[in-house]
Amino acid sequence: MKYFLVLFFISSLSAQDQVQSKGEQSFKIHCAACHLLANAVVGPSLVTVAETYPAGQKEAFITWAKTPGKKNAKMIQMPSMAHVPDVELSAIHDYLLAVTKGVKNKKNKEVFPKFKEPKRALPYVARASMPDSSPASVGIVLENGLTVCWDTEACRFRYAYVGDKTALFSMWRPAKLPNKPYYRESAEQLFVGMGQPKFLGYRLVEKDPEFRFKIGSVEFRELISAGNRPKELTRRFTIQNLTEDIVLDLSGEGTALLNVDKGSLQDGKLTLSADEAKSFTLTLTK
Amino acid sequence: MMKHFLLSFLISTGFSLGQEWQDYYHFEKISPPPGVDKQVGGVTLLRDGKVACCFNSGEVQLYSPESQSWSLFAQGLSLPLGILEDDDGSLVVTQWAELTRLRDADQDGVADEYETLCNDFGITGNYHEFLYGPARDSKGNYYISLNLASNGAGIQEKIRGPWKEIGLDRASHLGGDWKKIKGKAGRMYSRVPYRGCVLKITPSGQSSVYAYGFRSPNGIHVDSQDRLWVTDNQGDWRGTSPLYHVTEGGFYGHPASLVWKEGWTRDPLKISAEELEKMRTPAAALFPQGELANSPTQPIDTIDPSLFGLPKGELLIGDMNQKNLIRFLPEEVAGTLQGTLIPFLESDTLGIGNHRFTFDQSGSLWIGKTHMKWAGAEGLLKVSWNKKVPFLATGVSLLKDGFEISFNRPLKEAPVLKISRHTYSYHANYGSPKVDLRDVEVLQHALSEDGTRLRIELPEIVERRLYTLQFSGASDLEGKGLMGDILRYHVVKKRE
Repeated sequence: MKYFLVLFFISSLSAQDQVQSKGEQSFKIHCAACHLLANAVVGPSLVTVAETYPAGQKEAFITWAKTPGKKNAKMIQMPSMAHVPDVELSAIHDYLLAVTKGVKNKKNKEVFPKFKEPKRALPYVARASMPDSSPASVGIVLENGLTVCWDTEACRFRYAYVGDKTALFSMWRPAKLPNKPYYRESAEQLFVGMGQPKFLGYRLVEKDPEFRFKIGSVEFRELISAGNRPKELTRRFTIQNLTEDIVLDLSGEGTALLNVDKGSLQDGKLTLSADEAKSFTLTLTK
Repeated sequence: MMKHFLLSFLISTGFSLGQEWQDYYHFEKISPPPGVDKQVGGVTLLRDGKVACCFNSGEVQLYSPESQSWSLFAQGLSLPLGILEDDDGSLVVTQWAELTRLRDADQDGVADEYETLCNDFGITGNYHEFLYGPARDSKGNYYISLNLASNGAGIQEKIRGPWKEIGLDRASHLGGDWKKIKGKAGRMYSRVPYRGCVLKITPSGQSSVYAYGFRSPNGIHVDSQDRLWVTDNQGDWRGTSPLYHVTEGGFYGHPASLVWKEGWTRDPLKISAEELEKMRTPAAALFPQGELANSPTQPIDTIDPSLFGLPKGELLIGDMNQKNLIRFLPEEVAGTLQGTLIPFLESDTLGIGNHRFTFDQSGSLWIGKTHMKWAGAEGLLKVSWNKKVPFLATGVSLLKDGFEISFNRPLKEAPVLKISRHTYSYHANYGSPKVDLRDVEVLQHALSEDGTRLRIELPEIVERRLYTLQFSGASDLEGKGLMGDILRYHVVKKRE
């Protein structure tokens, strides 16, 4: 025992003599993620809770915490705190009454102001969650005020609508479109009989997105741009390693005029020879 | 006893003998660029000395410490929650729908290629399906972690990926009576690939499931020894928030993702906790809820001690709700990595919402903050060491019969020591109270000749218990207080 110079014996102190009050401790464990003192965040502020459940309303507070309903339509419903013993819920109530004494809600002011979408330079390409398309979609807001929804799951143009809203992603729900699409393609498969595409990403060509995907060994590119005329957009396809004719099923709905620079278009189906398909352009005019 | 009481009363103020972290570290706010949502999803140092930062509104911006200015590198990403620089100078980011490589092919300072590195996983449109990472190992493999969906909501009609037909039917998830039946979905659920898993992506883009059993794994990191670490959030099957050392094929406790195991056919909601207990790997460390962390975030390696003042070989970890960072001091016992958590930089100046981290070339720690409408903060904080050395515990070693704790300079005297141990319930319920909390008698403790090592002898060591060692009032020879005076060691394995 040469190594150790001093030997001590001490009695242990109680784990329960921690200075923090039980109510504060329990509040931090069960409530603090969603409730702040004077600001509504996920749930109402402690000031609001204390106003709803003043000193005489302890029982109602405990009942609510164990079987919560929905008081505020804009807020999510609180998970039940039934696993927290009554005595602890009571201590939390005492704690929130104590800390809110003399405190007022910060009115009309969130802790952090809601982000306001800035005015963005167009074209703007944004990962998006859009209606009637995969949650992994891309919105392309063109300079001429048209927006395209392109689905990275099906690897295809879904629809176009008039609107220049650039906030198109939300983790909560698909974006609300400012207008109904004026053109939509809805065939089961765009490239008839070719199988499941694999999305590879996109590159920006003069700020316009060129999507890349593969079906088997065939490589596809689709470049989306505003057209030369107002309310016009173009889709330039480049396809490599194709050995046979190809058919694009463009059937769907809408009022747009569809022009192709190659192949033959009949009843919404575009047929191209392997050579024609190396590079061709679809022009959509509203 | 009276003397004891008085002593503990005097020193249990929570402050270490008047020392504050601001005596050792300088905190500076860095203004984010205009026009972005100031919540930071990722931050990383680039080889040219710039700091790349991704913001919740979808931008990647580069900060030049020289000119103290921002430049836009990429935009239009969906909730990017992590960023790294690859060997070729491209930036790799996670976003909602994929792992993406951003390349500046024409070298004009702005990304023009958004290459999909991995999208081999499902999305239901549920609001909780975050994608975290990437972490990268020395061989260039990437690791990403996928959040489960929450029964706070159902799913959207259009989903990505095949729907797993185990559990509540898909139509019921679409809304309608969701509130009435959501309990049948499980508190957190995994019905499209590979929610609740960690995926590995090779440099050539092949992805595979690496590990199972996660809930909200908002912290994934490969350390300098190629060890993968993942933090997770308290909730169902998480009595308190854990830190895991993750190895291939492992199961880390939340059962929802078991459906992605090859050949798996059983409903995770119908497997007993006893059976799951036998399958799960215990946490290397546990963060007591409400005390140390409620929602831990990214781990990062500590750097050269001459730059930031912390020993090398530790992890620094953040948290959303507590105004402290957390040091993790790992050690291997009987082939298992476990260790000690110690609070760091605890102060109002640090604040909460500490989400993502990087060290810059001068050794300053950059902290990106977020809140996601939960408790948290936003913006960037830069923490620099002022070269005054705080008095720290620098090593905690489990012994057969106790602990040995090392300090970076001599203790003035053997401190007042309070030790307790507890565990948490492993169950489907949300969180857990402390279970089997009891005081631990210190048989004796002894200081080494040079005063830098303290040996603590306990009657026994119990596995699967979190030991809390409180050093109230410990100080060095000059009377400077111990910074970070509560040590929490999770004993997974005893020392034989």
